Amino acid sequence: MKKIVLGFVLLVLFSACEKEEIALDAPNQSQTTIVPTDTTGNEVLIARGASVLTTISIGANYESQIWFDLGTNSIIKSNARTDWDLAFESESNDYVVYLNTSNVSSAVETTTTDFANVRSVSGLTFGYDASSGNLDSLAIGDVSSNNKVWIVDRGFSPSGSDLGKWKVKFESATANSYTLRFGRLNDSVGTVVVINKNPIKGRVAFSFVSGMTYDLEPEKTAFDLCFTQYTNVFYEPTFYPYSVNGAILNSYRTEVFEAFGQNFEQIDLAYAQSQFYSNHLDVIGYDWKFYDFGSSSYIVDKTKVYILKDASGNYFKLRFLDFYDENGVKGTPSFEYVRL
Amino acid sequence: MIFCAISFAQNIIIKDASNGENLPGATIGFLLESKMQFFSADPKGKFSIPAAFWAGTDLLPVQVSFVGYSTLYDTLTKGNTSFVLRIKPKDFAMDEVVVTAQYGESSTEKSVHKVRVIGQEKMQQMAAVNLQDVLTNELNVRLSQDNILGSGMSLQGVSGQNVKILIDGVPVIGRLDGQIDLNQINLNDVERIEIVEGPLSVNYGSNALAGTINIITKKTDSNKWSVGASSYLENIGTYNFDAFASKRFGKKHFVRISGGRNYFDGWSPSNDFFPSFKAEKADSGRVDQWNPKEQWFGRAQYFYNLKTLRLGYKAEILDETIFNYGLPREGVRTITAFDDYYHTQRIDQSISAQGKLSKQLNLNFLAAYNDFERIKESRIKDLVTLESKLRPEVQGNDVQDTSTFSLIMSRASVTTNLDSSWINYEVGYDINQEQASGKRIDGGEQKLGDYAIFASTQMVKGGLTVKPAIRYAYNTKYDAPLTPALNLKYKMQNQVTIRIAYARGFRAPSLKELYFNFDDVNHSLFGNSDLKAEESDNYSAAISRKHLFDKFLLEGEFSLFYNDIRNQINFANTNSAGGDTLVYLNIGEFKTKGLNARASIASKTVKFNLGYSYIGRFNRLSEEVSIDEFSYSSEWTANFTYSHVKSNMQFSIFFKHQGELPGFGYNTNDEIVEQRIASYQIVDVSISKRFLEKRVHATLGCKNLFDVQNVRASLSGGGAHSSSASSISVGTGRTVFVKLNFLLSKS
Repeated sequence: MKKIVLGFVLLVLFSACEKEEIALDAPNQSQTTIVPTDTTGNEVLIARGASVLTTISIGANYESQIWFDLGTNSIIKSNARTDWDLAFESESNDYVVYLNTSNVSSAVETTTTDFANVRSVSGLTFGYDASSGNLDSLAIGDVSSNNKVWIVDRGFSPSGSDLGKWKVKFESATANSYTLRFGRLNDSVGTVVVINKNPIKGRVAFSFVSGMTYDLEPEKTAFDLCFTQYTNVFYEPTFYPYSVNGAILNSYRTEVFEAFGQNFEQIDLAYAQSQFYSNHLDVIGYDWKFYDFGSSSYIVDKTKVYILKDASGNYFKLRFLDFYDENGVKGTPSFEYVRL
Repeated sequence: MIFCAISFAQNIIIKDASNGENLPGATIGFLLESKMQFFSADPKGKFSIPAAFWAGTDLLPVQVSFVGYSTLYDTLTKGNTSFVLRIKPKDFAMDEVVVTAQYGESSTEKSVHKVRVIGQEKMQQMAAVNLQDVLTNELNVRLSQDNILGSGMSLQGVSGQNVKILIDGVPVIGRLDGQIDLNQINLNDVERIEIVEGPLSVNYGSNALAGTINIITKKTDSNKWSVGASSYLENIGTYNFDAFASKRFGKKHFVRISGGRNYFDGWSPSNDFFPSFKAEKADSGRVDQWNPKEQWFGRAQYFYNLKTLRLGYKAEILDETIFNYGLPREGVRTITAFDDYYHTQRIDQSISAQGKLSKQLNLNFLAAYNDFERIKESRIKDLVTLESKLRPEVQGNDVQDTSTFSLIMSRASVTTNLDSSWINYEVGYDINQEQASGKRIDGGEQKLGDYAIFASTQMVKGGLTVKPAIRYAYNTKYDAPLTPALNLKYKMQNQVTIRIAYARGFRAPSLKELYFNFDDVNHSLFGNSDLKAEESDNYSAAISRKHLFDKFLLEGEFSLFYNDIRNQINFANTNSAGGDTLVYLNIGEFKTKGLNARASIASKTVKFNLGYSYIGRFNRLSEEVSIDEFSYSSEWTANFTYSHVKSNMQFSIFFKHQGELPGFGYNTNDEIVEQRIASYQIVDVSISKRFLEKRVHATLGCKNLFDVQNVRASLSGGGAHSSSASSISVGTGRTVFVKLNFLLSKS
C-alpha cells in the first residue's frame, strides 16, 4: 500500500507547467538615433548618414491620411480619409479628375447628358482608379470633353458602412477651374460648384457632403509620401478591387527605386545615383508587409529596401520595420531611413 | 446464476447471458476428488451430469468457460434436476452491451443496428487519452488536425459536422467550423465508446447523419470505496494525471467523481527526443508546430435508486487553454510577439431517469444544460522585458473574441422491451433549444428551437427483426424534414446475420450558417436565414458470420454503404461585379459509397483482427466538367493482442494504413486539377503488466512507430509544367509513453 501511495504522489509531482522564457537582447540601437519630428519646414534637413526611426499611425481602421516629408522627418498634414471625394489636377493644361481610392470609391459614366434623368445604377458597371495613378487607367480621368453624367460611389467608411452614391456632371474644365453639377441620385437639378485650380498644389479636392472644396494635399514641393489606405485592383483570377494600405508617392517631387534584397547598411550614394527610378504612385505601396494566416498578423518584409530621390536631388534609403504600435494595434507603420 | 427448470434428467444447459442462446461445445469443469476435471458440452450446449459426480456430496463446484466469455464459477446443489448456467461475453468478443438507439440495454448481437464498441481494453492498450487517439485506429474514420481548432474527423467519407457526438446520450456542443474538437473529449473514466455508422436522426436529430458516437461513462456499483488514479507521460512533453473515487451508500445512493489535468508543452520537429524542462530563449523556437495545451476536467455523478427507476444527476466541466505563441517581431525599440490564448470552457449538467415504469414499460429520460464558451485572448509580449499585456480591442483591430453556445435539451422515450413479445414499441420526444452568441453573429445573439417526436416499433419473427421508425419535428427557424428509417435483421441458424438498413439523416443549418455576418471592404460573408436542412438517404447492408472452433472464435463481416446528401450547405459567391460576397446556400449534392470487410480471430490468449475499407467520395465538379464522378481511397487496419495470463502481461500492436486520398479542386489559375493527400501508416505498439494484486497496471509503448509527421498534399497543375506540393500535419512523429493506473482501494 505504501508503495502505491508513494507512486501516486510521484505522479502528481511529475507534471509540468508553462515554460519560462529567457529574455532576448534589445535590438542594437547604437547605429540608430531617433530624430524628434521637426515641423519648422523644408529648410531643416536631417543630417546625411544619420539613421532616422519614425512611426506613423493611420489608425487601426486605416482612417487617416498622413502626408509626410522625409527631408525634415515631419508630418506636414493629416486628414480623415472620408473628408473628400474627388480630386482635380491643378496643372493649367490638365483636366483630370481622381477618385478617392482610400475609400474604395468607384465611378461609372452614364449614356446621357441629362442630369435629371439619371436616377438608378442598374445595369452599370463601376470602375476604379488604378493604384499606379496612370492617367489612362483612371475611372473618370480627363473631363475636358466629357459632358456625360457620372455616378460616383463614395465607397466605405472606416466602420464599413456604405458612404452612398452621388451623380456628377463636369460642365466645363478650363486652365483655371472646373465647373461641375452634382447631387443625390434623386436630385433633378443638383448644385453647381466651381473649383479653382491652385498651381502650388498638385490637386484640389472636393467633398460631396459639404459641397465645398477641401484643402487636401500640402504644397506639392512639401511632401514625399502619403500614408493611407487605397484601392488596388487585382486581375487574377478575375477583376477584384481590394483595399490595401501603405505609402503613396508624391509623383511631382519624388521617385523610387526598389533595392529589394540589398544590404541596407551598404547602400551608398553612388549606388543610389546609378539606379533607374519610377514615379508610379504605388511603387512602395502596401506589399512591404504580408498577412500571415498562421499568426493572424501582418509581417513586415525587411528585405524590401527602397531608395527615394526627390526633385532637389536628395537620396534616401528606407525600409519598414513594423506595422503595429507598442500595444499590438495595427495601422502604425514604423520605418527606418537614412539620407545618403 | 442458477435457474431451476422442471425436467427429469440432470442436465446443464450453457447459455449466453446476453441473448439467451445456447453455447455449443463450452468447457465445463467439476471439482471431483479435489481435482478439476474438464468436459465439453454437446453441440447444443447441453451436458448430462453423471450421477457419480454427486457421490458423497450435496454441493458440486463447477466452472464454465468458453472462448470470448468470462469464466463462471458456481456451485450446484443436489436435488435440482436441471441447471441453466449463463455466462457473460467478455468485452473483446463481438457481443457487448450497447445502449445507443436501443430499447433499454441491449447487445451488439441483438441490436438491429450495427453498433461498433470500443471497450476498456482497447483504450488501455492504445493508451488513448482522448477520442482522437482512439479513432486513429478505426475503420472509415479519417482525422484532421488544426493547431487552433483541434482535431476533426470524417466518417464514411462525410465530414465531421455530420457526426453526432454524445456523452451518455447528451449531445456535445461547441462546433467551431462545424467540427467538435475530438481532443476535448477525454477518455478518463469512460467505460466504452459506441459507434453507429449511418443516420440515427430518428432518435438523435440533427448532425446524426454520417454516424453517431456515444461515449458511455463508468458507473460501477459497489458499496466499498473505489479509488484510483492514473498518469500518462509521453516523451513529446505530455504529462497527464487523473483520478476517480466512487462509492455506493446503502442500497440507494451512488456517487462517482473523477477529474484530472492534461498538459502538453508543444512540439516541433526540431524538438529533442526527450523534453527539456529548462527555460528557453524567446527566439523563433518559441513557435511550435503543435501548440502547447492545458486541460483541467472533472465529472461528478450521483444516482438514486427509486424503486425500479434510477435517477441521476451529472455535472461535467472542461477548461482548456491552447497557447499559440507568435514569432518574435523586431520593431523599432524592442522585440515583441503576439501570443494568442484560446480558452475553452465547457460546463455540462444533466439529469436522467432510467428503468422500469411497469412490468412492460421502460423509461429513458434525459434533460441537460450544456454551456460552451470560447475566448480568444490576444496579448503582446515584450521579449526583452518578458512583460505581457492585453492587446486593445479597438475598432479595426479585431484581435479579441468570445463565442458562446448553449443547449437546453431533453429527450425521453418509453419503450416496451419484452423478450416474450414479438412486437415492441418506442415513443419519445426530443427537444433542443440552442443559443449562440458572438460578435459576428447577427444581432449578437440568436436562438433556435427544435421540437420533435419520434416512434418506432421492433418486430421479431423467428430470426427476422424489422424496425421501422419515424421522426417528426418542428423547428423555429427552418423547415424540419420528416425523417423515416427502416432496419432489418435476419439471423440464420448457421450464425450468419444479415442486416439491411435505410435511414434518412439530416443536419440542421447551424446558427452560424443562418446568422453569421462578416463584412469589411474586401470580404463579405453572410449567413442565410432561409436555409433548409441538409438531408441524406443512407442505404447499408451487412452480412456477418461467427464460427466457434474448439479453442477459438472466428468472425467475418462484409458490408456496403451508400450516402446521398442533398441540400448541402456551402458558400456561394453572389457578387457578379467582382469582389467577394459569400453567402451560405443549399447548393451542394454529395455522395459517398463504400465497402468494408472485417475478420477476427480470438482465443483465450490471442486476438487478431483485420479490416479493410474502400470509400468513394463524390466529386462535385464532375457536374460541370468531365472528371470521374467518384474518387476512391482505401484503408487497412490490423490489430494483434497477445495475453500471457500467468504473468498478467499483454502485448498489442495497432496498425492503420490510411490510403491516398484523391480529389479535384481548383488551382491558382482557376483550372480544375487532381489533388492528392499521400497515404500514411500509423502503428502503435504497447506492452502492459499488472502488479501488486492487479492494483497497478503499467503500460509501456510506442506510438506512431513509423514516425509520420507530415504527409504530402499535392496540388498539381494541368500539365507537367506547373506543380506545387505542400504538406499537411498528421502526427508528432514517433513517441514513447508510459501509462500507470493505480487502484488505491478496490471494490
